[in-house]
Amino acid sequence: MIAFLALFGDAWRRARDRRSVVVLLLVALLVAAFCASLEFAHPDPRESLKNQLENFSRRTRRGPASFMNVATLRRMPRVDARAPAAEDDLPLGLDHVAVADLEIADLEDFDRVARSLRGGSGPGRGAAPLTVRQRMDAIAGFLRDRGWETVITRARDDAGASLFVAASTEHLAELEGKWRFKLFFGAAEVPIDSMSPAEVVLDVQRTVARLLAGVAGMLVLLLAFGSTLPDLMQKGSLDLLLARPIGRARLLLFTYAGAVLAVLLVTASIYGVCAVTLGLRSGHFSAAFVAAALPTTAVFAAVFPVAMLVGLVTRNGNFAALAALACYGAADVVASVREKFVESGIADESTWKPVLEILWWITPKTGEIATLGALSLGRSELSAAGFERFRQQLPAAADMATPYGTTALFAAFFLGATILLFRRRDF
Amino acid sequence: MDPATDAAGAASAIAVADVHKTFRGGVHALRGVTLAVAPGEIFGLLGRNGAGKTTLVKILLDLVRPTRGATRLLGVPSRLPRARRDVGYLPEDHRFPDYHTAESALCFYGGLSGLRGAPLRARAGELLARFGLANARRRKIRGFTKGMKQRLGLAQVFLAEPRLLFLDEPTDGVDPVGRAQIRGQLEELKRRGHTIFLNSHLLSEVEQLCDRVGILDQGTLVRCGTIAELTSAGARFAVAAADPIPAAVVAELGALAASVQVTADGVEVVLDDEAGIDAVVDLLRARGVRLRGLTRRRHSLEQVFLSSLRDAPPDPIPGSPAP
Repeated sequence: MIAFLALFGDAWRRARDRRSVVVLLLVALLVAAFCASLEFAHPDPRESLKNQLENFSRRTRRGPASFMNVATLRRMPRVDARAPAAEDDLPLGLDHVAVADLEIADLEDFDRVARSLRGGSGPGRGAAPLTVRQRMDAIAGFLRDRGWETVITRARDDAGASLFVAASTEHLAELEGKWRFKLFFGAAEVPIDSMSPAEVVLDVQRTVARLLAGVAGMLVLLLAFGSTLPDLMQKGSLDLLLARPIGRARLLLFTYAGAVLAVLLVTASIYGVCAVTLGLRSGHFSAAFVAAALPTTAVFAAVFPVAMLVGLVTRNGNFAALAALACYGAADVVASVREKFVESGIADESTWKPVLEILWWITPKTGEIATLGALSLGRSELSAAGFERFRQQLPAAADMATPYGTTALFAAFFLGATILLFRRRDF
Repeated sequence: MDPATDAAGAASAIAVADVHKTFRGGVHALRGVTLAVAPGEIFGLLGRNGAGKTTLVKILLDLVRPTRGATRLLGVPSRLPRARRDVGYLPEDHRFPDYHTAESALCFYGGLSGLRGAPLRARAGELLARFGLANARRRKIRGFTKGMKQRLGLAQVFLAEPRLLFLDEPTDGVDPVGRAQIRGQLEELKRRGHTIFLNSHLLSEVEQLCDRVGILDQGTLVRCGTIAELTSAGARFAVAAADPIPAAVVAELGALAASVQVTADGVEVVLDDEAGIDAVVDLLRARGVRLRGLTRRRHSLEQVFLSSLRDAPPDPIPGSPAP
């Protein structure tokens, strides 16, 4: 343990001396400053409901003005046990309730849009009309997809042309609606009507994570730590190390673990600063964002042994870092090609299919790990319904075990090869 | 004898048994080296550049693996990391990571030797003060002079208070005052019972410090013994007299000695037995020669070293046998 701490401290000093970490921390400061410049205006529930219903209307042939008449739109106070809901006999205990009365001008057109929402374009005019229940479900489903947790619909007439809608949510930050998102301390304003504030916060977090776990971040991290082994192996320097009462395998393992721990601390600090800044600005504090440092570190830990092996053979730190980065890039390319050609079924008959499959299995799954990281971030940040909506936006990720397992095997193979070579060599 | 495996070898501080090393490319660096260094001894290893001195030290420290043979440090096979637990090493061309300060470098190497916390920092401070680097403790090593780096190298050797020290050219790059200080340190260590294995080209230094010396030539240990044994010139004495010794007396000395040579201040006699010097002195006194000095002649270590090399310069020691 003492030897490990010594090697960890040495890795940290080396990285600091190479100034790559300083660059990384400067980038982190810029990102934190950017986060601090953001302003979030949470959408008003009533405005959100109105906006969403208008969005529904835009899908019709006649447009928002003529298809649906939002006759009344009221925001209800939180209903509690002492003040029973008076309006239309709503259930107790709802948060942020908004209600609306709808008059459907063209039932046939409404039915066409409702069918298309359920999947496919649906039959055009001439198809059997939807039942009143189906119309109410269509509106309810549309609103739930936009962040409402509870949607109550009631028909005011037998034909279902006049509907009452009440929607509520406990998670106002996950509600899509028309709101304004300000950047650079109000210098720029972005109107948003299809994302919730929570989704925007999550998007900023994922952008920061992509920055670190992406090519640029990996380049800086590998330049900072990739030369660890070549530096240790400099003539006259290695003698001082190997003369200590520590085995060669342990020395390499500790060097690896020290660099990985240093990267974990750097990334966790960067994520931590961003999480606090974003939390202060958005009111949406995310401890889980700090944990997103783990997948980023896992990506580094997967490609760092490549830098170690190349560094051992060439004794050139920059070359080692670039080789690891090339491996990272190649893994990304393999995953993309496989997704396009194999998973889509295009390559089913191709002789390249087994080659692509083998390449996919033996390369680190950096992309999948990033997706799994985003998923776990979403799972801890959003409500169950919000997470379900978020999950649908991401590429389909494999199970947890395959990407992490095969990536760990990849890292273990290179680390093992490095140790084997290091143990056999004369210095 | 197999010093690396027998009981005597286990008791030795350093035991080397029939060690061979052939590098890739067919370079034979060592050819069957066998030696033992006793605890508390200062052993000097001499040899030309490329003789295999550094390879032998590196094999002892497991930096290089022998092609054949066995080695032990303090009774433990030197392949095992624990064999180096009580060992300090100063490589010839050592190079500290230049992003460290003097203090952080010592703490780093101390940590690898199992030291930690406040005692380690205190020990580092003490050593930096002892080697005249107290004022540079927080300076980056990249700004150090060669002498400062050498002194820092020595400081790291003493970190864990090792019982066995390997020093490769310890005074290289150090000024005369520093050299004297280092010699003092080594003598102090010897008094405290530490074992020192010294590689040096400075024969005078080796002569002053070492109990025993080995001479390595082309991978073979050609000579090994105490300084007295190696430099002994047999029963050769120089007799200094106040006045020139008369030729008749010199002729009489010829009957007592194997050879007699008149010198500027007396005579030099070579005897069959060192006890014969009494008869020589008696004769000279009986003939009224006023004696002023009597010195036993020795070869210099340089002469011994040069004469031990296979392609030695011609006749470094008159009459010495080829190795």
